[in-house]
Amino acid sequence: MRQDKKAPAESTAEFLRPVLVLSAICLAASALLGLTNSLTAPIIEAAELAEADRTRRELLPEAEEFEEIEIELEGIDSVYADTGGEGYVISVTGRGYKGDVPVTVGLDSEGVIVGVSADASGETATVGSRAGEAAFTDGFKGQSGSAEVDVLTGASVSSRAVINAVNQALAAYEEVKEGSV
Amino acid sequence: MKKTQLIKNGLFDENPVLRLVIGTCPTLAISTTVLGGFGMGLAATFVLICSNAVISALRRLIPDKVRIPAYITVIASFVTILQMLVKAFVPALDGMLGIYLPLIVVNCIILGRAEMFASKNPVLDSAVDGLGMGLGFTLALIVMASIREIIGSGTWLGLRLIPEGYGISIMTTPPGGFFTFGIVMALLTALLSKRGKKCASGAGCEGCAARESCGEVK
Repeated sequence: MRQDKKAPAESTAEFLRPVLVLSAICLAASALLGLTNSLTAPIIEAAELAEADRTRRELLPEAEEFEEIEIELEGIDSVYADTGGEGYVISVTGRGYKGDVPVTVGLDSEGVIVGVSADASGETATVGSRAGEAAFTDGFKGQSGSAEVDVLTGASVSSRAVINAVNQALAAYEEVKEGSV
Repeated sequence: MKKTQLIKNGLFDENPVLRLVIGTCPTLAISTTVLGGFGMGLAATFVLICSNAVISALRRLIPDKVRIPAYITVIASFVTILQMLVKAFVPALDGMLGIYLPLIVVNCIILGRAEMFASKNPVLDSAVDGLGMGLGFTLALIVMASIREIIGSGTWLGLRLIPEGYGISIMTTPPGGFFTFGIVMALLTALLSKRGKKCASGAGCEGCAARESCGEVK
């Protein structure tokens, strides 16, 4: 390189130019990204809220409108009560064989289970993942207070995870009922 | 350079996936369904046209030392903008592509064309080249996805063609993908050779289809 033969002023400029150009590009990019974000973020958030509401509605179809209840309980993600008095939808994260098993329980106003939705897709495929299927979760319908279903053969850990999560939801329901009375 | 020649180039003679063999990762991953392949192709084409145009416009301003960081910043910005737009207006596409949507940033086709073409050619030519390469990518995806979806799942664009259970499911898995890729690549090369296009063979630079526009070979 002929660098050392050049005057110091020139090499400073040569050093500065890439920095300035890159900074300018980054600034322009940030401005454009910020603009796009401000336009799209509200739309994305509205879509996500609508999706969450839709899944709650699947478990409690006659509900009017869902209102979140602030509750501090271990393992409980959220408790939503229907303003029309139809019941509650409680989300719990269970600990499965391989990781988290999100479970959502729909309860009517008396604390009887009307529906359970479990996402066991992270468990062992075709074995533990069966704990997320309707054939298993439908067994909870009609139970209250304390829930129990037959554990799936060969998938006892995943099954237990869902059963425990459902019971946690039922316990949360008791808490909520006490709190509001 | 003639614009139609550029498009034809991207579609066949220098098809990025089947001739230049770049952008193969998303091709193998997304070519299990025709709808997914089409969506990926459209997304990548959008980024290609935008990034090629911008990089070409800035080609005399970006010093050689920082050209790779500069190109990547431009490309990543366009992909992020695309991601935000898709999440807001076409969320179904977001679900279909999943992680492969943000991974368009490191799609070799985009950085490759920026380096091979946009940095040396005027803006309009670069934009058209981006369009041609994007269409070529989409074409390769659709051809491969059609084969894999029809034989593997028995459907095409979701329409059932073969009764359920009669598909050869290995076609929708990675081994099937590689198998299809090799065959389609060989078919295109055979087709181009028959039409008189000299298809160089051999290892190294002599056999590379990108010799014409490569910056290394002089």
